[in-house]
Amino acid sequence: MPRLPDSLDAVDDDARGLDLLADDLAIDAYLDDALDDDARRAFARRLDDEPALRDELALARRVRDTLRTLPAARCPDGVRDAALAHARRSTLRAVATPAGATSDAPAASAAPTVLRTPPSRVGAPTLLALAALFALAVGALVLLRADGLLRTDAAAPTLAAQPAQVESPAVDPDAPDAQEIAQATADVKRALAYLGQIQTRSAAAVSDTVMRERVARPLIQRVRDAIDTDRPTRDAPPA
Amino acid sequence: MDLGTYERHVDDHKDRVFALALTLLGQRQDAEDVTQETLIKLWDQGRALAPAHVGPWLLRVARNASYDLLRRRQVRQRVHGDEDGDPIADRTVDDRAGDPHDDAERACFRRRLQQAIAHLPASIRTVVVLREIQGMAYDDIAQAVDRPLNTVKVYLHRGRKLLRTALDEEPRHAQAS
Repeated sequence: MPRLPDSLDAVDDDARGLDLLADDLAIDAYLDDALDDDARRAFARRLDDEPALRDELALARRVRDTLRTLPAARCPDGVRDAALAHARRSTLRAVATPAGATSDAPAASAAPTVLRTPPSRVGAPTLLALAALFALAVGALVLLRADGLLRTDAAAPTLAAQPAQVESPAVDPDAPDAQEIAQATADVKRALAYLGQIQTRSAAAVSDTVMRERVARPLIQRVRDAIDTDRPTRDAPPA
Repeated sequence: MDLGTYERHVDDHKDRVFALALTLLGQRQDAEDVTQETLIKLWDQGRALAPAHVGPWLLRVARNASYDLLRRRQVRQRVHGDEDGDPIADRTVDDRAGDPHDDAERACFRRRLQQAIAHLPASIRTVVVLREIQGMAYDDIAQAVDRPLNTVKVYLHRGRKLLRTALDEEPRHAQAS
């Protein structure tokens, strides 16, 4: 196996016994094309007269040429990708960090050594909030479709209790029955389960700020608009 | 440093960082770990660096991380007597002796050269590999190994001389035996 030095300083001692001769330096300089014209001509004359020097130069040239044919080390793509993923996660975490809190990620020395299959870092509170909003929207739409069931404070968390609060379903033949309500409830649960799967599979962190501004707020507004649009007909006195 | 700039720095320097770690450590897995740790540290701690300083900074971090790992490995060897893998399989350069386009003699020479590289003193091997195989500039190598420029050049001369000596002596030893 490759020799490991007893100490890192000791490695330099290994080469101290090696005397570099002027010829060794001249050979390297000749191959590196680092000799001026006069020195190069003088060295060429010596090559004509000294077979040993000629052999040494030939070996040096062969070593150099062979070294240049050896493949250079290439960093695996997985290492690059893991580093970039860390930077992206760090950026998204910084966006989601409340003002006043430090956004710097922990020092790399504290990072795990192997990160080439980085774990998912999805913010659980964020997706749970998204799931709740989704349930809210689905529940509201279900209730909006069911005119007789529409309530001013339509909300998904009370959906399960809705059948007990249904008022005179018999007056509207289009109102959903208990089976349809149960089906709608099951749909909401499936949607929540699906969002849970997304949370576990997604590798991208979601910024709370982005979610609030671009998803939650428009969704809530749409639900409110739908309720407001429906309210005049619901609140209108019977003819 | 934004993400795009960081990605460019990673792409520009990752191979040299990896080559340095691999040369110092001799094992791909360890070299990959050190390279990843180094690149991550650039994002976490080096985002304020001027672009010209990124390369030398990365090489310095990779060198220190490699040395730390070497020290831990030495302690582990003393305590547990662990061996560190197959020196041939884990060597810095790939063994392509089986390349059908190489004749047997060239393949043999290449294999002997690789073995000779593996047995160079670590500091000299690092300079030889970074210069002769990776094609790095002397200045970058001096930064990477934290040695003066002239020392790097002397190491390279010595490395070349040691390789010639090893390759020149081996056939004679083989014939004598």
